[in-house]
Amino acid sequence: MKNSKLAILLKGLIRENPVLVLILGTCPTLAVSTSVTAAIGMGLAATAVLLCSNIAISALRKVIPDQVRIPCYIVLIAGFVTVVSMVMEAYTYDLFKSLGVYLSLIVVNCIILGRAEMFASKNTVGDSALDAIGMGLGFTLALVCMATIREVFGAGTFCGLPVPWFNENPISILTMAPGGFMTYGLLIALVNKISNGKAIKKKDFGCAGCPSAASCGKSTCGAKEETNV
Amino acid sequence: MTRKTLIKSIVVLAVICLVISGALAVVNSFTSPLIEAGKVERETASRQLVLPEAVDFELLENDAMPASVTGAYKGVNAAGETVGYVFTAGNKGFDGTIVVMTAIDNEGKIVRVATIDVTSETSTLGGQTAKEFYTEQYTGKDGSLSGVDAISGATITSKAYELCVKDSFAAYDIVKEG
Repeated sequence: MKNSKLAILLKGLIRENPVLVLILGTCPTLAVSTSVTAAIGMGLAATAVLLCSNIAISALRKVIPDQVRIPCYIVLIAGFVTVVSMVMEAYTYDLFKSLGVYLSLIVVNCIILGRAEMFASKNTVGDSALDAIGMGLGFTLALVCMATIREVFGAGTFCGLPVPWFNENPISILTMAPGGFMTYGLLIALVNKISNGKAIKKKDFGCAGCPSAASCGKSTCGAKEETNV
Repeated sequence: MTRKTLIKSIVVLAVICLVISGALAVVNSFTSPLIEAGKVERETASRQLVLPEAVDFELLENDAMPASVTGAYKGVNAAGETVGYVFTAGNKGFDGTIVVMTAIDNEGKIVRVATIDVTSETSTLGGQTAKEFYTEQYTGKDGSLSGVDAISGATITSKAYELCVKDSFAAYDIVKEG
């Protein structure tokens, strides 16, 4: 019993890492991973929102009718993001400013709505909270890895502090969009290689081969695409 | 959809919206004073950068000032004496409004100028007005701005910048004491 609780928590870190395996939340990942401090801030803010929204949605899962579930989830998530945003503007203004518009965009971060749909609406509050922590930390981990690479090699600094030699020979393209995509792709390849055999086997394209197939209620939708979703 | 689920949907969504709105109002009541205080502190700090002798600033309001001057403050030192004035002015540059802050002392000489916003300008041309080598040439100049060189290739931005400073001088003439 305890093992499966731990499994829920740990799967978000590598095996089902939302950014590198499930490929969710790519926009903030590419945008905010140029600086390690911003990456940590974004990761923690998103984890806080994910935790609150998973708990709230799981607690209300029997109350919210299926037909209005998306508007309800979005109102809840937007509420939590606004709270986090107000608190950050009041207490940690520099971090708030460095995240800019991406803090508000956490509302539409696919990881949050995705986990709400896939996990929180079908599991208990406790399990949903563990899933949120695991996924949030996985997101933060992926973001910090990318930010470390892009900041140290691309700008020659780490958390704003200059790194000797690297800050005289920066590879500027890494801090720009193309570099972001390159780093992202290479990290996905690396994770695929590391978890070879242990991760979800992607047999084919389509719904059945999707990393989220196990928890998605529509994993047979590939065969019945004309049905109402 | 049956009538029952329709009513339930409406009620649940409405209640969630009300509860969330209430929670946001509560959080806002705690955080908005802090946000305001932080904003005032940052603005005072930015004014102190251009007028270092002042410890506090008093807002000046006067309709006779040029429309481009969006902020006018009198700087006072610890003894309450006026040490100068700080004006924030905005004018149309090349591709948008540029905002410049000018500090003028009691003798009508510029203490310092600071570029607040030139993000609308071309970064390699007009954007250079944000650099030290451009802003420092204003220090010590009077209202005629003689001897201030424009940035070559960025005439429009340079002219807009000088206009902001000249508008600050016009405002200075209106609000200065004695």
